[in-house]
Amino acid sequence: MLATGLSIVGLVFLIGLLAPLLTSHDPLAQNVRDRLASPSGDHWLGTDLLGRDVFSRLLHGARIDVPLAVIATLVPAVIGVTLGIVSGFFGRRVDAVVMRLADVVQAFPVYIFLVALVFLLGPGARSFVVASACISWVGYARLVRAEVLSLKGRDFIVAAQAAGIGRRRVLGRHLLPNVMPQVYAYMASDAVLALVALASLSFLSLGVQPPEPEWGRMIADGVDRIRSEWWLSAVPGLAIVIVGIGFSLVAYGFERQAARR
Amino acid sequence: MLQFVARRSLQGLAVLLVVLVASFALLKFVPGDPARQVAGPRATEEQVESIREDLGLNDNVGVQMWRYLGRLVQGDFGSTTNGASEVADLIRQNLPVTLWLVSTSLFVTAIVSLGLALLAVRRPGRLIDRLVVVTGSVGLAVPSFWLGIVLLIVVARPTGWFPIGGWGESFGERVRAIVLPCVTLTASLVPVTTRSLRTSMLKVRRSEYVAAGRSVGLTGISLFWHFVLRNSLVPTVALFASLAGMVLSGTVLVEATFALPGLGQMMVVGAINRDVNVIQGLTVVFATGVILFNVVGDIVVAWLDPRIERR
Repeated sequence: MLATGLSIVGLVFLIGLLAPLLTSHDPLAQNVRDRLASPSGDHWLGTDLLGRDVFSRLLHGARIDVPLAVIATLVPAVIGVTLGIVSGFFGRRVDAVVMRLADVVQAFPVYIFLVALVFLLGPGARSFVVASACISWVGYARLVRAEVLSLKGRDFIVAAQAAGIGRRRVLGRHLLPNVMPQVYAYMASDAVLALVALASLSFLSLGVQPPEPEWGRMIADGVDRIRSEWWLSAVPGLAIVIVGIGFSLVAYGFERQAARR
Repeated sequence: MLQFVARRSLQGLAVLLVVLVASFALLKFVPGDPARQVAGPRATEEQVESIREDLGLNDNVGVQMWRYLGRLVQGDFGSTTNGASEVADLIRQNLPVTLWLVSTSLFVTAIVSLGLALLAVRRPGRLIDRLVVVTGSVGLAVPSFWLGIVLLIVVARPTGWFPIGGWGESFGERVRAIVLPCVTLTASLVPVTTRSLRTSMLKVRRSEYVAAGRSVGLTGISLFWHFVLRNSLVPTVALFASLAGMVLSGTVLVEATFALPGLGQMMVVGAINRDVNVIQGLTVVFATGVILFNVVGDIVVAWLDPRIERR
């Protein structure tokens, strides 16, 4: 599972990296005379409203969507895990503040909060990452805090502390290795949500801005043509689903690993 | 019980207050000078200053916040940036569409996910169960707006039964307009609800009272109905209460995809037009909805299962 998932995501990312070698058209080059062409030997997936090669845009999209989904997962994960550890291990006042903050964040529906934050920061990829960091840390903080709290009372941690091992060492050598497998599983399933969120925001014209070949944006560009050139919207969505399934498989693999311990 | 209701309501109010303050802060962080925006680009410095005074922007921040909260309590969210209409009126106009979408989708989601979970749980680990688990994780990777578009391509376009988007005038038109959005929203919820229901039903199925029921000779349907289903009710209600945020998130995308004139679409249009009052008002309305949903859900759960009160 883990290997299959990682290969899917890795392969798509690699295709994105090699996109300039794999395609013969510039993803941004417009050709108004050749707009809305049907799939052919030259344009494998036809051209869009502005006459840009859809196949080339699809492959180049992997350079935007996959890394951005990963970054939008990593940043909140680091923040959330840190806050979760501080909350659970050192506790008390910090714990109260962090958990109330988490309550407030969770009072907002995710997409409402995303749209409001992006509104505040202005549309774009950077705003998306910042907004994700503001929202998604909560899940990690809650997960890690709960794990740390339950591990804290376990014999091996108590024994380590009784043996006079310093707090930092107990944390690094005994606590974290037992928490991280769950965090990895959570990260992989969070990556699915980040990927979909990026595409959704771009679809609403609040994410990655044109003319970048972002998948959600490409779906939006094709919406007015679904009566005739339906593939313009259908194909980029398929790319999102494939990468999403890849991340899901990784999550599933990590979950099984964590359960086996 | 009464004590629990009071405590839970107070907690909800506390979170709401913080949310309101946060929404006020939103206004303060928006780049640009609101007075200059109202005055227009050609206004003189004096005109801008007098508007700033009129809007009360020269007052102490605490005073401004107090005034803002006072306006909210009266249901006054200010007017749209172009001054054409009141935000509260717009919300009132757009609310029914969203309520329609949310209520029908929740209803269908409940039926579909209960059915699927029951099918899966009857024989854990077998074909149907696995199918349910796999579809669940694939479902999460499907962007709901894209699913909506695919439905338009493969259902609405060839059959002509449903409009390609938009709302209708008559009741019949509206029913037809809501079908595909409802299916889309349901499809984005079902993977989550089915998965969670399946887990809680498996837990019930393995519990001692089900074993007891089996030992007195109950089998099949009656065991399921009286023991498994009954006891799965509490986690089901709890699950749906916790779903509010997800459902409202879903309406933003689904309404935008199907061009439905609801609150979600209003939010997106407001963000694109950079309309502070619209975003602020809707943020407050949505957050209030979620908090209300959660509080009521918790109370219903506590009423169904008195043990929870004491936790």
